[in-house]
Amino acid sequence: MNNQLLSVAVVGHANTGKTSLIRTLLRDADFGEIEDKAGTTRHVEGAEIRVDDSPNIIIYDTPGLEDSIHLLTTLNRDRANDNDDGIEYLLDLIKHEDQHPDLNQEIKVLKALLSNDIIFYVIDVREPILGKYRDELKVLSYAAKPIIPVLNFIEAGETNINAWKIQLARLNLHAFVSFDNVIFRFADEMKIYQKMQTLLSHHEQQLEHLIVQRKQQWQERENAAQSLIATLLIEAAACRFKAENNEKSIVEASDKLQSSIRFLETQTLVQLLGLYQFKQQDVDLYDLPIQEGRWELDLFSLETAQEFGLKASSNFVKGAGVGVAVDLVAAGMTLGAAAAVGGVAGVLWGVKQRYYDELLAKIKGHRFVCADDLTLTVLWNRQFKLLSALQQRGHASVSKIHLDDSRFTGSSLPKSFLKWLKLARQHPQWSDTNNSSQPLMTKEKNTLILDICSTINRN
Amino acid sequence: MDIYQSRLLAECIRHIEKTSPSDKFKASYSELSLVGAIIKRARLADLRYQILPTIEHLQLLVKRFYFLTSFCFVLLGATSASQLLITESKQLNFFWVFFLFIIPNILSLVVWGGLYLNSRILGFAWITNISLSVITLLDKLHVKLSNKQPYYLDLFQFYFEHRFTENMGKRELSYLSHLCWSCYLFGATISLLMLLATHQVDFIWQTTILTESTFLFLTELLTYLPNLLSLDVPNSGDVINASIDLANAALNKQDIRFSWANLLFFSLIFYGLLPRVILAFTFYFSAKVKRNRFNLNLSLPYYVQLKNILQPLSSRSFIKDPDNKHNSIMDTIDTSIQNYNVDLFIPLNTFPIAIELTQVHLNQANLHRESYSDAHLINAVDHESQYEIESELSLLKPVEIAVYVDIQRLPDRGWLSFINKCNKKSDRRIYIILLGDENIEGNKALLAKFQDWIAMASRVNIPAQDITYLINKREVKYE
Repeated sequence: MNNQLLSVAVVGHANTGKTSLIRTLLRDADFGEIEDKAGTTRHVEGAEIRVDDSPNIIIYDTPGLEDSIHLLTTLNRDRANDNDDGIEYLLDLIKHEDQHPDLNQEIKVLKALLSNDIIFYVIDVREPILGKYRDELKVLSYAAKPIIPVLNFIEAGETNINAWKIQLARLNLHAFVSFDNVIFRFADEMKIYQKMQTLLSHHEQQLEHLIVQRKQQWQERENAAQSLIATLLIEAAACRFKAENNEKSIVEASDKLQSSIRFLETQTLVQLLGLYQFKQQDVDLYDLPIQEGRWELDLFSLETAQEFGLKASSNFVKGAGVGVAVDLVAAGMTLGAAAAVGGVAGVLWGVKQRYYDELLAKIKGHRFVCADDLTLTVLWNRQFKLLSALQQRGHASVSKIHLDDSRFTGSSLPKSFLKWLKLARQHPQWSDTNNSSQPLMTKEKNTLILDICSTINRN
Repeated sequence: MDIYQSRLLAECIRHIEKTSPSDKFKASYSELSLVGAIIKRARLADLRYQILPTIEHLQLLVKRFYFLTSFCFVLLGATSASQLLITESKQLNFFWVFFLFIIPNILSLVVWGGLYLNSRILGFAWITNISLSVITLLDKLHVKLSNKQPYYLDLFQFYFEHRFTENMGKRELSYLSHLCWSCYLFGATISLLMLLATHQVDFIWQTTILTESTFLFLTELLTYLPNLLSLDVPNSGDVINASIDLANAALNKQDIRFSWANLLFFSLIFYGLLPRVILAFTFYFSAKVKRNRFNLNLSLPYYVQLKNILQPLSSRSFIKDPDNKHNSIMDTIDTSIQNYNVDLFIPLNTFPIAIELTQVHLNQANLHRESYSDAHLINAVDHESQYEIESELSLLKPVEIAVYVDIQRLPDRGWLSFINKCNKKSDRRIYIILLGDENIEGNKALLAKFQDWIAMASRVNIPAQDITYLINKREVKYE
């Protein structure tokens, strides 16, 4: 594999989205400066894209080619010899840089053209095709470097795309890629690297490695995000507050529930933003429309019974283990009896641990307030909406993500959704806010998270 | 600090930071692998959280617990053997010893095997929970504990879950179980050895419901291995003689006692102690290997976030070709649009120029141009059209020029350079007519563009009074 650093110069007219493109490729919203005016980038700024903990590609941002007509005129006028090639023209102009203070920014671009392996020429396809763009491409062609035209803002400039493609084909530029800094698509990013592979065959392996790693990272993030959403659902469903059987107490418990679920959602939001390397101010979050939900333990439900059965048998075995130990203290005098008593004690202990709160509440006439199915459905859908928005957001976006409170139909939910909720509600210890004294059952919680994630992936 | 300890520290830090890793622990991580970077960060983080002593304390706690348990089981084994096996008549019921030590041991092994193979049952979360409850209780009794380390209870919970659940837990608890049995049988063996060394006892057997043949069969089974090793163990005749009624009938009592003692120690050691010791060592090393192979689960959301912090996709940016000539003129220009001329009057015979207009706006400009000039409106879109305009200007030498531009376009140095070319001697008056489709009022984006144009115009000495804005009336078509 050729491990030489591959260098890329990103060039184009002013305000076509060069810095934005680099921000998105680097996943770094702090790279360079972005403003809706010409001349924002006034220096050549580079950053490394890493693969396997070491730099793989250096990507350079350049000032905009604002005066390409004058630049091309100057290049053609100043050329010493008609037989010289384009590179000689460029070198000659760079050599006499001091004589052209008005082309100071353009000369920086020319230096970047000559010193890098490949050129990304960023085009704002919302713009009509003008002569100055043709002049820019002509100047670029003097550098004799592979060029990948990057058609930017393809969503907004859809009507111009074909015209641009025809224009590029006339200039022998057939290997263009489409990109959108506003609506990011991971596949578009991959196409950029694939086009680079085509044009730079001696760096093919290096770029393949980069592509594989990027895909892996993308998948890792998605899996982690799904895991966060699954955890939120479980913890929000498990979250509950005990209330006495009067309105005041129920209202108080509902308030606590609402703030707890909001806290959980905010926590997940921060983590999702962290995963996708965005900042908190990127999202407009409003309060979750939580409704008061009531859940009373159904001791005779199938799930509860099944769980009880499993717990009973497992605790019996554990209890039997304890019993044998007790038996040894008595030196085998009551071996069998102790084992049996131990088993029963194990079951009773398990029942106490699991149902003590519920039974006590039942006796005292208390009830548990927890989030209802609708609220949790909203919570669930909101997270996927947010995830989708984050995955399609370029790191140059300045507008906030808005999560509206549109209600989703149950049909879009996974089939096991209600089963998950029921299971989570039966395990108050899965939510930290409950301060439950029941066994943590972390393994069971993790199994449910994995189950939810695999269902999401299947869908 | 060994690799396990480092990874454990990283996991504890994860447990403390819970959801999102802090990005406060800045250092150079670029030369390290991800795990190496996480460990380095964990060490840095520990300087702040100070949890390593707590982890070491918890590890010591486990060691002490193991030691104490072992000691208790040695004592238990010793006392069981010394107090319950010797009767007043100095007779020792061999098969009672056998049932007391070997049978429970074998039963326990079977139970352990079942638990070990059924990972679902062997969760052991309940042990953690009981331990945690005890510690919480102790903590409440001795407030000092929680004051000493704010993360103590969290770490306790995590550490015990980590060590006594999942795969590592299976090995640890198996080790503990075999260790206890080893100590118990060791205590019993030593105790019996001391007793038999200092007391003369007769070996007997008693039964109510079992037949003599059962004891014969069992003895044959037990003596099979010692016989192979040519050890002096009781034969079938000795078994019959060991019946309580015949205990005193044998003539060579000392030899029989010796052979029974041989069988007793052989059974205790080879059928009880040795397998347990081997299993205890096996699981001790297995747990150790498991600990050394303990890896961080890098797919957890916490570590994916941490990866973004420690090893971002890109490294820090750097300036290669700095801007040394930036002037701050643009920053000081008054760009307020209050002074722009809403009803700008263009004198007759002003020379019209269009710069990079679309056909729609070119039509709009032509309509406006008709009010003051008959000249052909050239649209400057490339080098040729610019040259054409420059030639016209040289030829006609107009005193005033009207420049039509689209307000939505960006005023750049190319535009500036062309205006400068059109006004080489700076003796011409230039009007700028901005063309657009919407009203400026209430349109922030359009207002910003307008201000950019005012700023750019001022750089070629065009005052705001010579700038106007025309809204395109879409229904009007140019013919």
